[in-house]
Amino acid sequence: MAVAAVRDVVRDVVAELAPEELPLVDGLAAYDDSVVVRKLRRSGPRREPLGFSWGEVVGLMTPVVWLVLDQVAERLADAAVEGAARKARGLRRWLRRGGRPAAATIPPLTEDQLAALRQDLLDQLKRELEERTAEQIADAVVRRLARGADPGPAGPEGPSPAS
Amino acid sequence: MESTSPRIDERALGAGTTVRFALLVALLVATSSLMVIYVTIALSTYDGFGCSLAAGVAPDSDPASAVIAKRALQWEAYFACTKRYAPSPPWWVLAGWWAILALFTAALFWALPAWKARRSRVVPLATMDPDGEIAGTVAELSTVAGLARPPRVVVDPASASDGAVVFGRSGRATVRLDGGLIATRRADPRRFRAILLHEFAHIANRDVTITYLTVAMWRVYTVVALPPFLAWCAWMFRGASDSVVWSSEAPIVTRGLLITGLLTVLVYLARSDVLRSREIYADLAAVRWGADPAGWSAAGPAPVIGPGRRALRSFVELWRPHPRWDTRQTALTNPAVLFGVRALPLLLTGMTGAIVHAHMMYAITQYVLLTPWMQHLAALVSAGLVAGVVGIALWRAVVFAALTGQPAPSSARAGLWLGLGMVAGGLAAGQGTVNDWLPARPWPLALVVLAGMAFTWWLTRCAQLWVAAWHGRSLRPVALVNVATAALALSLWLLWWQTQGVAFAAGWSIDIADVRDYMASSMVGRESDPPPVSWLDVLLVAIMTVASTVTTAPLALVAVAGLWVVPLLAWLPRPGTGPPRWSRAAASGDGHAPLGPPPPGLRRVLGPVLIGGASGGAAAVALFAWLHARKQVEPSPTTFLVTTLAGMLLVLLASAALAAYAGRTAVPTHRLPAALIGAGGATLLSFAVIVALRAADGCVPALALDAGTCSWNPAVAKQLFAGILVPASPFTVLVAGVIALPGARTARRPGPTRSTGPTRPGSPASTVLGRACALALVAAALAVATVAAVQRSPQASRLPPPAEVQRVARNGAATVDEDAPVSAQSRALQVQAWRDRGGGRLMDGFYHHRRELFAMVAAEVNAGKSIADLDSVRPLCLDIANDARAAYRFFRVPDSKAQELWESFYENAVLGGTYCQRSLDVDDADRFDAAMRRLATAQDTSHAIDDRIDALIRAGGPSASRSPALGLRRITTVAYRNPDMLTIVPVFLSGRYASGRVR
Repeated sequence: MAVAAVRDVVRDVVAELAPEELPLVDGLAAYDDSVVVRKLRRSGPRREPLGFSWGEVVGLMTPVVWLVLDQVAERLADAAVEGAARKARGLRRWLRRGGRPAAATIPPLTEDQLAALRQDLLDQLKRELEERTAEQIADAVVRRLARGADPGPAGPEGPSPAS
Repeated sequence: MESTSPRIDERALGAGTTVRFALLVALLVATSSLMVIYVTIALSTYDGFGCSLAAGVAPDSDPASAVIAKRALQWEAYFACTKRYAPSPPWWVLAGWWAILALFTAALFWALPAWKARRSRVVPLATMDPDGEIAGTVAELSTVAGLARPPRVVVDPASASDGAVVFGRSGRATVRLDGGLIATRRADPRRFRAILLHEFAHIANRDVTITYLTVAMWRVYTVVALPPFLAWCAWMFRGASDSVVWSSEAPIVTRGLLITGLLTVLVYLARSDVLRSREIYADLAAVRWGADPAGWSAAGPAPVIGPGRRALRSFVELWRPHPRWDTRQTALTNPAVLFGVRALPLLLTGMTGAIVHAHMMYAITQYVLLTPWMQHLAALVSAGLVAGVVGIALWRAVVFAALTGQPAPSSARAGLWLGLGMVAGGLAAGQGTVNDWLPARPWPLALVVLAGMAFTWWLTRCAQLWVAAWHGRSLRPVALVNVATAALALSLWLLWWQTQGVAFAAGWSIDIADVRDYMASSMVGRESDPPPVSWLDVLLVAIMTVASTVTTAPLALVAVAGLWVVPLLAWLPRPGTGPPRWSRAAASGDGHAPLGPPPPGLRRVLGPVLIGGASGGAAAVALFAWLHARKQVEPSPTTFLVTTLAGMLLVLLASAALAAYAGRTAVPTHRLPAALIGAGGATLLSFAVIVALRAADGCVPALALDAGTCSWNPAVAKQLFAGILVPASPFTVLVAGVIALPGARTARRPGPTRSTGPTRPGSPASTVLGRACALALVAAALAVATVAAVQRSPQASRLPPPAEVQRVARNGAATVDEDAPVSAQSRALQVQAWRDRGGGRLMDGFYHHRRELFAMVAAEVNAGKSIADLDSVRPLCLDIANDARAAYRFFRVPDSKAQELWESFYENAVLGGTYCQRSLDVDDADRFDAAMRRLATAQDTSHAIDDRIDALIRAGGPSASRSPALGLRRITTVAYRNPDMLTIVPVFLSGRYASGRVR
């Protein structure tokens, strides 16, 4: 098992469960993770002249999965910082100063951690999605994280779909 | 109806969107211009208010009518004062301001698409469409939509909506798709195509440029134009407590703020309304190109709600740029919503037109460009925009009603909303209020509503006539001619309303007897004992006063003639068989409803012309016979002149009324056009008879008025044309309109074949004769209108001379209550302004010349010279006399006692100066001494005037004794310049009331 980039995990989960949303993931992949998260949080229907829209598409998976996994990555990163700070007092501020990395990642997790993560994911996803969908996503995420890093063709280091 | 309802093509006539946007642009430009003029004036040394004070205006008590009259009665001095102390802002201020606004708007217009399509917000379509599938669909659909090339497509991957939007320019548009739409395109490809086609329809319909240009203009207005103006308002409010004339300023400044808020609402509502209709046009185009109407059907049925919530929902809907989904769904099968005449757009259009016109008039007043041509041009711009919007809407409604067999739209309701809008816009812009909150006479505002109703009535009835008569391929040319004619007629109304109308609402009134005597004086001289005012005097003065302002516009008669010539033209095309070609293109379906009652044969409309003309001719003969008898017994030449002029006017009006009645009776299905044609034609024929009788004066002894012998004098035609036909013409069409009003019973009920049957062609010979007569009438009307335009054009390019305006005002066109009480404070401000704005300078000039003269004379006398050697002082005597004459033309002192002194001063000064010169001519030492004594007396008098003014200023209290710059210069005369005598009274300038050699 190795560190997994959030965007890779999102892509794999979407590819498995909602392949029709893959263009969205590809489009979002053009931005840094922080930009993606900010855009996804902010996005809402806009009433523009000469626009045509029925409103939000219900049940889109990509934004939900990306935002939830980003929170997971952030929490795990915070936990790592806390641990390091406990070991080296005074370094906490220094460790924080680095800010958020351009690519959010999820470190290798133990089975217990994965089980706890699954429950955590379920709790969060159920707020946005149906229970069955939430379970499918949580399972897919756990499966993907258990597999570890998987630098595939659409990974962050791989060739861009646009290229 | 048995036949299935045809499907109406929404493109049967233009949508009128461009002209609606143009109206908004005109509103923004006019308001921005006004704002910059306000601010420029505030920052300059402009002091027009001081001139009003010097003219005797009392800021705390004078109503608007007194402001108008007091300035008009001393127009020469007031005009000179404003030229010196309140000059127009430099032309480059306005030109530069427009350039700045245009530059910012262009920059924003170009920057907006780049901003909306910036990399941080969207990604190119290729990023999300590696296999080019979506791009292929885009290319295919853009071909279907007839676009020259596929638009640029970008995607906002973070947007979970399933929509799209187009922006940029119509020729180079960018379509932004939402991420949600991309995600759902496989699940719902029909909707994906429908949405793309809808956006492409916006491009094909050329909505993009105009929409975002308006957006850019609005943002530039709010960021660039508005802040300086708001700062000006804030500055004025801040200093309100210091200002001794705040009561006069408050309505002006508050109205400025009100108009700012109103403008925001107007622009937002109007823009949203236009955008809503554009959405439906785009929906219909998309469906025509193959979009599945099911793409619009996802919304559930409209919930059942109570009337209160329904009203609230409708109100909220007004502010949204998109129509409700149920409206859109309904429009896909029945586009009636695009052919309706709705209240809101009419109201907004009326308001916008009135504000634009008021602001343009203010600007040309400020730049002293108030020639009749300029005034009419301003009216034409507003009228053209209003007629464009309203005319197209009414024509669309009439066409839709005709094609679907539904009742025609209510022109009265449409006119009511338009008129109410014009009233509201006019009030907000300060029409008829000057420095008051509301007009002194509110009831003339009802005339505005009536004018709106008359305008929509004519448009609707003519549209119905042409829709029934026209068999050409497209209705657009005839609609254009009709709307242009209506615009020209509306411009005449606006011209009158913005000048005499608003002045009348502000309380302006005239002295009938004085005006009558002034008019008569050019022909019969002034009577020492003028006759009392009769109803004929009132009629004549009223007609001449109104008509002389209206007909100063060279195109006035073209407008009046157009009102009956354009409907008459509908009878000229040969009637076709079967449905007209334009209706086949506009409606598809199994059946066509009859397109309204067809116009009957030409005889029916030309008959009334002959009846009216013959009656008018007979009435003219009777009139002259009666006048011939009357001349022997009438002691007053003024009364006889008035009777003659009013009699000829009445002959024309009566013949028009009779012909109009005959017309409405003969053609009940198109009664307004028939009445107008009857009146217009009959007026020309009756006038021809009058001209013939007057030109051959003396040939029939029983009708002779002037000549003792029979002779042919064609020159009288020119005088009668200017004195009778031109002023009568607007009133003859008004009379015809009144006669054609619904409610008045027709003498004869039309038979079924007359109202609904097919056009019954007459015999070929009678048809040819009818057409020839109609063409002759049209040619005569156009010839008369052209002659009038050419005749009046040179005079309409000039400003009326101030002396002439003043003379007219002093001869009854302006009245003022001389005994109205004035507060001590106002009196102090007035006399101070009088001294500061020229009175003091004149007295100083006299003082210096007189002192120099006395010193020179003393030196020469001391040197032993006699009167014969004093020629060197002659230029000083001349200067003193000239100074005194200038003093005579200057403002009267706004205080009776000081005025007495002032009159004594300039009398002594002018006599002193003149006698001085004459005594030097004849070497008469005694007369020279007397002249010097007069000058010394004048000097003492000027000191007394100064003392009196100082005393009045002291009596006015501390606020009035302050520097005039404090509190007074702040006033911008913004509203005090309008309405103006220049606009109200070019009335009698021509003085051409001659009816020939009447006496």
